[in-house]
Amino acid sequence: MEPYRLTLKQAREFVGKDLSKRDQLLDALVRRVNDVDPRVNAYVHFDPKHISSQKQAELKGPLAGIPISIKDNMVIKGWETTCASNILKGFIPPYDATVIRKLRDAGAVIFGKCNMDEFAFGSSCETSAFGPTRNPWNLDCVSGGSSGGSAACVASDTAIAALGSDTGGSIRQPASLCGVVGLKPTYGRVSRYGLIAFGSSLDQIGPLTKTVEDSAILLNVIAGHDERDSTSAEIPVPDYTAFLGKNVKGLKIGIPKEYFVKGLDSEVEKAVRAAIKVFQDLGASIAEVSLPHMKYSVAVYYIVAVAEASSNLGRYDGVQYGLRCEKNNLVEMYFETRDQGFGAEAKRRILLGTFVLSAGYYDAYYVKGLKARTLIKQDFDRVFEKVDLIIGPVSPTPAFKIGEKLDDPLSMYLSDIYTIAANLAGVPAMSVPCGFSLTGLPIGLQLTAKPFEEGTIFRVASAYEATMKWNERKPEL
Amino acid sequence: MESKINIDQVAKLARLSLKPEEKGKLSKDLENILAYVDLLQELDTSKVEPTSHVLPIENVFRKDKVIESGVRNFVLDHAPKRDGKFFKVPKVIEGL
Amino acid sequence: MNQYEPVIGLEVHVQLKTESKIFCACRTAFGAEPNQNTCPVCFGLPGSLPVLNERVLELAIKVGLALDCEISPKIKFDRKNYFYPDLPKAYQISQYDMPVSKSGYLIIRTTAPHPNPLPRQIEGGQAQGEGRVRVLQERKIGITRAHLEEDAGKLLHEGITDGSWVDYNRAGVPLLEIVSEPDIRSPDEAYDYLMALKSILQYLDVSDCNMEEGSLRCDANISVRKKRDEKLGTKVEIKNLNSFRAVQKAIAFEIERQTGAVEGGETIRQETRLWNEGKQETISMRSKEFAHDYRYFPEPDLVPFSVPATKIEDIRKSIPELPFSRMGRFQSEYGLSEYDAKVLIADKKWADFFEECIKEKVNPKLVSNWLQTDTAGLLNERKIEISAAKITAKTFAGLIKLIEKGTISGKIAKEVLPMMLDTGNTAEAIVKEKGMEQVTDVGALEQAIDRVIQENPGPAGQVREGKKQAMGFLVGKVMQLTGGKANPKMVNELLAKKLS
Repeated sequence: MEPYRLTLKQAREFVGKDLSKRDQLLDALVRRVNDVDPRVNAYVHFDPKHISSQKQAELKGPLAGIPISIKDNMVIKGWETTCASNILKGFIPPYDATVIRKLRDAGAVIFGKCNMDEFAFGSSCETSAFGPTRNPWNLDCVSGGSSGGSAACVASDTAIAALGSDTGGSIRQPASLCGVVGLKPTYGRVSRYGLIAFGSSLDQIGPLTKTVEDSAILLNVIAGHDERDSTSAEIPVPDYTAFLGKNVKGLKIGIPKEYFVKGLDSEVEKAVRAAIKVFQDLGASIAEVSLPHMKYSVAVYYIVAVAEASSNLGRYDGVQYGLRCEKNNLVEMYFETRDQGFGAEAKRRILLGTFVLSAGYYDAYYVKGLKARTLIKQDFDRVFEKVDLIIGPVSPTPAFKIGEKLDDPLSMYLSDIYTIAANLAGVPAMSVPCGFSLTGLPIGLQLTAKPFEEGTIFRVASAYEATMKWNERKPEL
Repeated sequence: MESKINIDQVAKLARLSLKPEEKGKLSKDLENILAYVDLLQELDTSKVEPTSHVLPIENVFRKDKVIESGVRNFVLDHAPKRDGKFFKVPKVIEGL
Repeated sequence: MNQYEPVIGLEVHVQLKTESKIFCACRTAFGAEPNQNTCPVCFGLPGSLPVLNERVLELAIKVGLALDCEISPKIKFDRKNYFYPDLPKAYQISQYDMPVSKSGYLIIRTTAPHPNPLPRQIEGGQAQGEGRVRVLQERKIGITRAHLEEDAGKLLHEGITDGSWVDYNRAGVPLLEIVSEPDIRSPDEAYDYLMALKSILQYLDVSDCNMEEGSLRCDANISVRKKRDEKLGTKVEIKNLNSFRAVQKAIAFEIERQTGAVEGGETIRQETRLWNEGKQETISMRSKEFAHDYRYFPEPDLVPFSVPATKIEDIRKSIPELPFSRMGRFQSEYGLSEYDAKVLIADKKWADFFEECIKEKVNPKLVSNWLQTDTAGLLNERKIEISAAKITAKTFAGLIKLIEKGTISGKIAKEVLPMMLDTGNTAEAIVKEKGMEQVTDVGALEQAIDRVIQENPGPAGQVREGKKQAMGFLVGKVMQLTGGKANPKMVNELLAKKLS
């Protein structure tokens, strides 16, 4: 097998302590990128020089010599980091994000920076200033978003594993559309220090991998308390790989009745229902549960997330870094820089967020949104008194065509209807492949657990993966 | 609820100058989204506390200790416009 | 009779005395090279996150307790959004609806007139001011709130014509904004409030309170209304006040301007005005192109804070004796007048110096007088702080002792003091070296007196005839002859005896 096909676990075994094997792996991947990525467009900053400069003389750590690709919204010292936005072109961070430091400490090689929706605003990777990332299973389709590049490089074997970030489904939805494993950990599980903020109270970094096991290996490395992030939890990190390979007998799984409603694609519904059957066969008990406020989650999200975003994006003004459109006076420079620098979706969200926070609308929108968020969180608290895990769809449809929803923001927003609630409630959730549509597009299954119980997700997802082996199918490229 | 968004005012507040051709489309998009968001109005939230932090974490501090970051020159070197050890901006006219 | 009264509230920004900034580990020290004290956090670089400096909250609570505020059971931070190049994130982390503390007060003692003084007036408190005897009144100024926020950077326009320079050294410096109720009624009262507040902050050792270095800043809100009106007039905010005197003068100017405008039938516009020190007037900032809408919302990057009662008690215990009670003690313990006590306690360094002197068992009133008049004047001329002067409490007490013992006269002491300040020598050494001891030797004095009587037979005769007025002339001559060193009391006695 070509080394680029290896999973993270296999790559680790392949490299071992052998520097030449490490180089063989890296070279194979670079060749694969050059061969495939011009069609997929998963990478925005890819420079083999950066890779060779990281070749340590000694291989040590749990990810020794293993290349990991990074969504372009995590800062890496000395690497241009743009959030796929024109406004950040030329921004060279002077520091490493905490996850990057942890990866380096674990011996990993930072491989390349992945395409994304501009500032993670989108569900299709089409709002990128670098053009859309295409779905490796069908190049006419979207890769999903916003971590579309991270999902597509893993699916197209141009990466061993990648990091993405998830504010309303940005890891899980592209993972689902590209047929890889994507985990959004509990809010506070992984440090946000160095993650360029979108919705600060929702953002979370997580792994996109070829297998559930790889996801656990990568989470082991990146999780944990960080004194630089006030919102990071001081809760010990278990060895997530210890949850793998266990059976699911006696586990209680909840199926929210609100999941199977109008708008859910019949093929997706079929795949998800089939997965439920598999869990039954594996000995789990299935119960219907209710998340009565889930239907409000998209509305809450498009208040809370955009409000935070409008504030987080105020700093892009051309003064200290990134794009600057020179003008005779400061006010004109601000307007021109922001006008040229931001794309349409960024402007849409900045305007919306500015509006919902503005005088006279704050209570009606922002505070109302925060209160509805409480109700959504309480739904999860109640359900998790009865069950260990919730399963359901990730995306209401398989990958859609590029351009299909670009002009209709609301329908684009509604494609996150199943994923947003987990961010609002702060709970961990994973997308794991659960089948294919008739046209050969992947479908994902979402597993949602209690806060800080990623272990339960790994246990259940690995049992399912071992049974169905959907991950063995590969796109032809 | 009625939510006629004054796009010019909001754009000004956000320091975005919108081209006439974008303005109409953006305005319509925002109205549609706000109309959708009005779904929340049917919820009775009079007895509900707002959630701005989802985790029950409190009292996170750092010690009052100086650590030199040493990033100044790096940041200045990559700044769009610097003048010696300063960042430089165009004339600030009043009324900001 | 003026039928309008001013209503004044002050917002004081105090830099809290910490090693590092409020949300990052950068140095707060004044005088660094441009942009030296910076890191990804205070530069507001993408991806960076704030973490609260523990010491900042402790100091803020300390101030809150000293101002009799309620310490909020739940403290949170909010973002105040606006664009300006000195604000690297385009929002300032501040506190909106859950500040560290609220609803306190500060009692000031002032000679400023007030329409409704508190019932109790202080007895015997007399002050010399502008030739009039004025009475100190106690007045309670409400404290609305005291909240934490980060300072912004600095925009420099001097020495550059085609733009401005930005220095972020101050960005993220911890500030406590202390907002008073609109309880102040005159420029003098505003001045006294600021002095009292500064004094408390110095006693608490929470701030350097140095206006020149920006560690203390003040904005004033002023409106005028008809006396006995309940409703407040439209308020005008004055910024760019660089000293307490500037606050006083700007308020006085503004009262006059607003009163004149209202009397002339104009409506006062709600606006921000800047104090122009050169022209001694407030000028309107050009009408705002952008309406302010700060869009405050809870800072998602910081968690809420709730300070345990035990911690608050620990902080309360760390509060030293405050100026107000020290003033009372100076009166009762040392017999100082209220006015003298007020002047001495205003600056902790002076009050400490005073008490150090008293330990040397010298007369407190004498020490107080010598500190307030001569010493203060001399230090002022030399532009040095008492804590930095070459004189110490011990050497100063030495000077007082020489006066008490009659070794030197007050007149000689006035010559000795500047020498002590300039050389750091003790009074004893200076007096000895320069031969400045008072002549108390009866023989030597009689010799001088005899010579004066001989040289001035006229006045001497007058005294003999009972015309005592000439006595002073003769004493003066003796003093002149002895180079001022004769003990005046002894000279008087001996002269009287000889001419009786």
